[in-house]
Parts: sequence; C-alpha cells; structure tokens
Amino acid sequence: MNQIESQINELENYLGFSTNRLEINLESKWNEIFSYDLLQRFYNKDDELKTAINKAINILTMLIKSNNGNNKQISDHFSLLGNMYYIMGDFNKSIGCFMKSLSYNKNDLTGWVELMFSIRAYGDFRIFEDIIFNLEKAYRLWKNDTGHELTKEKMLSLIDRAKRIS
Amino acid sequence: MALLVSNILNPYIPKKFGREYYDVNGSLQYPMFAAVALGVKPLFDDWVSADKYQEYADMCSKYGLEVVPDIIFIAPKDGKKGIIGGENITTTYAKGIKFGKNIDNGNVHVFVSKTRSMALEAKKFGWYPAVINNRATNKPYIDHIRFGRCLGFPNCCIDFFRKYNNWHLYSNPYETLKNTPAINRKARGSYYCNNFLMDHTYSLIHHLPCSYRCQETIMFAKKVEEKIMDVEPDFVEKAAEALKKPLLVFSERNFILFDGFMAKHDDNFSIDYKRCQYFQNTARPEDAIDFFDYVGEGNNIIISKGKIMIRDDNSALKTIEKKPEWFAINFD
Ligand SMILES: [Zn+2]
Repeated sequence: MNQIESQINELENYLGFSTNRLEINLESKWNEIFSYDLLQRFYNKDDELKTAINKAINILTMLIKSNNGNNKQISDHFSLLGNMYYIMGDFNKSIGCFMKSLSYNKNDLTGWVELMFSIRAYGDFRIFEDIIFNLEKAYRLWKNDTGHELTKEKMLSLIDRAKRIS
Repeated sequence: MALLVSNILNPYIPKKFGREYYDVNGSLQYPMFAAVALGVKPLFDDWVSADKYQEYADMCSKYGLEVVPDIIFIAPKDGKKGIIGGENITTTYAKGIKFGKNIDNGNVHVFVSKTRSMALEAKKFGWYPAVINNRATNKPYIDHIRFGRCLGFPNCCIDFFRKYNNWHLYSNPYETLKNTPAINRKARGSYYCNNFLMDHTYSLIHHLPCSYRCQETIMFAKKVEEKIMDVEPDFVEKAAEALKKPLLVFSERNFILFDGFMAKHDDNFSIDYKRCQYFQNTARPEDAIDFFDYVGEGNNIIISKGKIMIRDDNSALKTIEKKPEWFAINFD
C-alpha cells in the first residue's frame, strides 16, 4: 500500500465511513445522508473536526502532487473537505472547496448542490437562487465547458448564461 | 351508534392581541406570531398568501417585526411520482418559484423576527425542499441544527432531532415517546410539550421535543403561555383544552385527535371518545391510514401491543395490525 492509500485509510478509520462517493448526475437525487453522517461524527467535536480537516488537506496535497490522474478521487476529497468546513461554519472555505471539487470532476452534480447551499449559508441568496432555479443548465454548461478551473468569475458567468437559456 | 366526524379544532379569532395577524393570515401560526411579537421567541417562519405579502409585512411592522421573504410555494397539480428526490419531501409538498412582489399566486415563505439581521441569519439555514425543475433537494443536515437555534429551540431538543430527525431511519415522535419517562398516576406527556397541533393553531411550541416531559420545553412553553395570558387569555384557555386531548400517533403530522378520555390498563390503552379528527401529512400521502372511517363510526378504541381495535359501544367494528411506531398518548 502506498503512502497516499494508507493516509486515506487512516482518515476513513477516523471518520468511520468511506470517503469514496457515488457520482450522481441529473437523473439522481443528492444524497444528503453523507452530511447526516458527518454531522453525527463531528457535532460538538471541533478539535476532532480540525484534525480530520488537516488529514484531508494532507491527502489532497499528496494527491495533487502525485499527479496520479485519479481526478474523481481528488474531487471527492475536496467535497469532503468542503463538507467539513461547512460543519465548522467556514462557508468561504467550503465554497472554495466545492468549486475545486467541480473543477476536478465536472460530471458529479453533488458539487453543485453543495456549492449552492454554501453560497446560501454565506448569505448570498441571489446567487443561491440563480443556481437552484438553473441547476440543470449550469451543470450542463460546465460539463461542456473547455475550461478546467471553476473560479468564482467562471461560476457567475455560467449562471448568467444558464439564466438566459430558455 | 354512529358518531359525527367533525372538526374538533376551529380557528382562533383573537379578541385583542394580534387580531390583525388573524385578519391577514388566519390563526394556524397565531401563537408563534404572538410569542415572537411578545419577545419570548426570537423568530418564527410562516407562509403568507403572495397577494397579501405587503399587507402582512405592514401588519408585522406595527408589532415591531421585520419580515424577510424566501421563495414562493405553489400547490402542485400532480402527485410526487417522478420527482427526483420526491422521498425527501416530508412536511410541505410544493413547487418553488422565485419571490417577486408582482406575483399573486402561491404562498411566500417568510422569516419573521424583531431584527432584520436575525431574520436574514435564519434564511441562510431555513431552506425547505420545494420542487424546482422536477427536483426536490434537502439542505445539509447541520442546517436543521442552525435553523433550530435561530428559532430558539431548547438545546436538548436540537441535540435530539440532530439524531432522530432522519425520516430514512427513524420516526421522531416515537423516539420522543421512548425518551419520555412514564410517571405513575399522570398522563404520559405534559401539554406544554404537545407539538402535534403546532400547525393547527393550538400549540405553545413549534419544535419536536426530546421528551413529552422535556423540562426545557416546559419552561419555554410556560413563558409563552404567561405572556399570551396577559394579552389574550382566551387563547391560553382554548389551547390548554385542545392540547390535553388524547392522540393516536402514526408519524409526524399524521395522527388522530380525540375528543375523549384515555385510560391505561396494563399494557393496553383505551380511548373513549365523542368525536375524532384525522390530521394527515399532505406531503406524504404514502403514510396515510385507510381505516379512519371506522374510527369515525366508533366511540372506543383499544391500542394494544400489536393491534388496534375499533369499537362501537361494545361491538367490535374493525381490528387493525398496529405498526410498532404507532402509539397512543395523553397529556396533562
Ligand atoms: Zn428537550
């Protein structure tokens, strides 16, 4: 077992569940049970949450450096990290993580759902509504986009275009 | 003897306090409006007919309350079949559209508080899974905790529903019952902790309590009762009367209210009743019971471990298999 795999194993043992998530598309519902499990694990356990966040950051650093081509794995770990920041209440960071998660895997609708709720929790209700009312279009536009990095500007321009498609 | 199946609960028309609220929005959420206006509760959320939104906001402002709108909920034409995430819809089944002041159909979901900042904070975590583009999406679970805090729920109850407010795994009311101590010669629950009528006018709380004798909930509900007593004593009297009636509970928002009396004999419960009213969860037609007509015809119901027997005087009308999470409860 290589170092990354053993670190992932260690994190999964710490969490009590797998970090590997089922990819969902427009035909499937968002699986909120992952957010339920994370909440049960870290409710009122801020120190343990910080430890898990550090473990996830280490894994992500190694995964990105190793350039192993497993973008879904990187995307899943950004999603996990975003969910942990969400529980901590750092919505700015969770927004960043979900945009990264979508940058590494454009096929997974999960990132859009998690991103829009982070944006709502951040207090940007207008953007939240623009996404949820145009979710399918935003998802398709990004999936077919030639860009690799979903930045805030890119996201806003995608949503703007999605709103104009009738 | 066939009995009348008629409404036991009627709307409450305030004599003095909050009459303007009733005039705009009826009485279903009247006690929560009063609790927030009287400063016992930090915030409540409500639904107001879109064409009356401005009237509602103006009325609230007279009581020193700020209103922040969310989206508009429109009654759907069809059932939940085919909706992606349809099983996520547990309390309110509606289509969602963006709020706009020139929209005159549907109901606006609103957050109401003494300060605008509190209402905005609640909006961050107060999403309901309205159907948008044929998809219903639940918010992340921790938002229930954050929203509960905004609404001023007791910590013990927030902690309880953190675990049990998961329709995939638990029946929250049944878990609450299991967490309620049985006290000799007393009813099972305190009427202060009776949340079943919370969307039907007569309630002093608007949360799922951790126990039907939760001390924090009782303390909170007593404060609400005291404050309303000063301004609208008739409501307090009517609420206490309604909240002490026995119930047969199937799931959250799905129960029968009896105008009658419940007695316990060993492990069996017997309810003698003059009238009964069925409340079903319109968002979950799949949970509706199909034997209420028999209950309406009878005047006594016996709830034992695995069975429910409906009787008319001394003859049995119908016997039904009881699901483990169904229970009878009375309040004092
Ligand atoms: Zn409690």
